[in-house]
Amino acid sequence: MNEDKDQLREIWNNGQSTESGFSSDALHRKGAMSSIERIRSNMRMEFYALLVSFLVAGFVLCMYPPRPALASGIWMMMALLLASTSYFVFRVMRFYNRSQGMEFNTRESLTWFVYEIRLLLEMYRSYAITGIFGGFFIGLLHGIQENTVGTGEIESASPTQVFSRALVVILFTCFLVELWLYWFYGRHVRKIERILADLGH
Amino acid sequence: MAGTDAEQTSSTHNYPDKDTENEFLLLLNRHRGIVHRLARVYEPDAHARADLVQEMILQLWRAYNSFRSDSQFSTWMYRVCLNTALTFIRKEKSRGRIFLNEYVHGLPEEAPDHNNEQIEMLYNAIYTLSDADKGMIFLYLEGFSGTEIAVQLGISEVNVRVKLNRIREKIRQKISI
Repeated sequence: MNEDKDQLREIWNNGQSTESGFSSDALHRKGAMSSIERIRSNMRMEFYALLVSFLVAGFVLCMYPPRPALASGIWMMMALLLASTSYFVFRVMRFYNRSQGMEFNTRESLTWFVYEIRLLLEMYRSYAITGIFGGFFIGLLHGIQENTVGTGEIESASPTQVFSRALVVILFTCFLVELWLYWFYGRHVRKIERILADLGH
Repeated sequence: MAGTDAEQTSSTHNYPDKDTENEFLLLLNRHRGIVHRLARVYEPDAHARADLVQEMILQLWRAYNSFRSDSQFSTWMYRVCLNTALTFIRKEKSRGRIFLNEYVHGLPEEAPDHNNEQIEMLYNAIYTLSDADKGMIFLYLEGFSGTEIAVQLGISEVNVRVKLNRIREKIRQKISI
């Protein structure tokens, strides 16, 4: 290859300018950017998941239409879920679009992101729990209609037993929601907060 | 070859504490030229190049835990940066960005009004290459031997030699040397 006497290498070696160095800030800000990208990517993913789940729910209800006696209840719950979902999605999209063009190269922009995402997570928490119980209620009504609920042992249980079982289901649901939120958003937000703390020093 | 430095690092990198960070920044700044030069090879656009540089730094920092102190930092750095650049370019292309090498043939041949014409012409010639070829010629220009390039890119030495001859000839024709 005649490597040692290559003119290309000479041009290469002679033509390089002095490059600027890297600071610790650059390292951290890029780290924050990566967390922000992950949060935004999870938001996109959940948006499509929501869309698909509503389409599936609508399809199932169309395929197995509820009996007239329960139809109004089921459709009303669906309408409520749709309304709350629309509002939630509107808020998420507004935040998503506002954060799209930002470079997040200042402490202020990172603080804004953390503040807004924390607010959204609170909203998500209440929306998710309401949504899950809404879905659970629709399932219950459907079960009553199909005579698969109301024939079991629950009728023979005492109010305390019913209450404790319901409590376990509620707590477990809340735990799952918290786990979901932490995995997809919370841990990334914490990372940005740590970076903000580092930048503050 | 390039990076004949014998820097060794003795600490373990299980936890990215302040000391590890300082140590990493020290090594990174010692070899910052690798990052800048490779970014320039892959990104003609200064704005996108800054993004690529940032991405490389982040990937290097993330992978620093896996850096074995018995190997040369610069050799490891070339590998990580090259992989990052290729992934970055692939991602940017999938987002629909147009790259210079896709239309550079249609541009009028202009002499760059830069102090160092030759290096500008060399970069412009490199922009016309495929992404894989850019990586290969970069390593070559940085001083790697055919064997070392083969190891870095995971291809046979014969393949490297054949390809390098072709690439170098192509570049020579473009910059008329």
